[in-house]
Amino acid sequence: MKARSRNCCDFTGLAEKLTAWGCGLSLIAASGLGQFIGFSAAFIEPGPSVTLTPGATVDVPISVRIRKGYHINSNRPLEDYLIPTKLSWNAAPLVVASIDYPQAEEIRPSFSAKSLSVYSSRIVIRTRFQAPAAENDLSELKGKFRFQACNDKSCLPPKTIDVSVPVRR
Amino acid sequence: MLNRLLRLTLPATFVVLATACGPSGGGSSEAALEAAAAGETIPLPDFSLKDMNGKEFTKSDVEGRVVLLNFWATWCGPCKIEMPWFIDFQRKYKDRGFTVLAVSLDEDGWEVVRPFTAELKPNFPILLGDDVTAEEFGGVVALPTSFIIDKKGEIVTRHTGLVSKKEYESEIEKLL
Repeated sequence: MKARSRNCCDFTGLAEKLTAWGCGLSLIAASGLGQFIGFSAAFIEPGPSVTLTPGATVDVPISVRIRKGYHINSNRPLEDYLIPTKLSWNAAPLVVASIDYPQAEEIRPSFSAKSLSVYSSRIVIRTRFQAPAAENDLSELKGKFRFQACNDKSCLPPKTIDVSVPVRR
Repeated sequence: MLNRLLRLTLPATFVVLATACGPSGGGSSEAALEAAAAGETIPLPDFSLKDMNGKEFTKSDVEGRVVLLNFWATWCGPCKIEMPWFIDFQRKYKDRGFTVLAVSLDEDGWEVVRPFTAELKPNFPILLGDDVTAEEFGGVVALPTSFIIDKKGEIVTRHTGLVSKKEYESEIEKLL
């Protein structure tokens, strides 16, 4: 079961449409659109652009909204078989100094005999980048956000979505 | 055929989206059962899937049997609740013309499925599927997804999400 990727902007667009049109219309719209219908239990919220100063560090928060009724595994799930949430970057020549995931919550859904370490509602993952000493012409920071979501009855396939943060010149 | 597939697929779509629109959702069994009650069954699609020993299973291997065909994955917690039930069903109903087929949709294949099955010790075939398999069954929007197939090879019920053991049992008994 392969995750279907969409870029950050497409996902944001879908979320806005779901909100604006109401769920009734989205049911109709989604019903004929194929296997996973582009539905995502989590999406990246649009964030501010960043300014890079040569030789300095910059903190970049990525805000993730998780749909009501769903949870996604934390970056350190308590069971080996669960797929962790992971943010990764391809931001050369910047170097990723650290990625700080938020505190997870422990829940015990009806399907699990053990507690699960999860995120729900909204989380912010903070990345600290080290900019090179030399000037560069980077126009955006590109990354991938991977997660796997469940509710108390079912699970959605793991999904990887693109993350893009514009760099202000 | 497409319209008929959609009729059984739509309830599953509703489960996922209804969950997104409100509190956590349940299985799609009611809607699917309504479809079944209205005589809206669809033929079991042709399939050819292998077990971990390379043995091929096709539609013809289950002809004339009541089948519970389950899509699952190792990363799916609710799927793991059902597996011991399926072992019970296989033991209880096998001699009455029933079989379980469990199709894993794990991207990492046998590497992750094999250790799980070694622990579970299933008494029914565990097969490996992919997106194409899922699409042949009208699309799998969430796991677990199970199909109940009658002896004539018609899919009579589709469940998306965890349902009760009792509900499965009742449906199987009706068809045996």
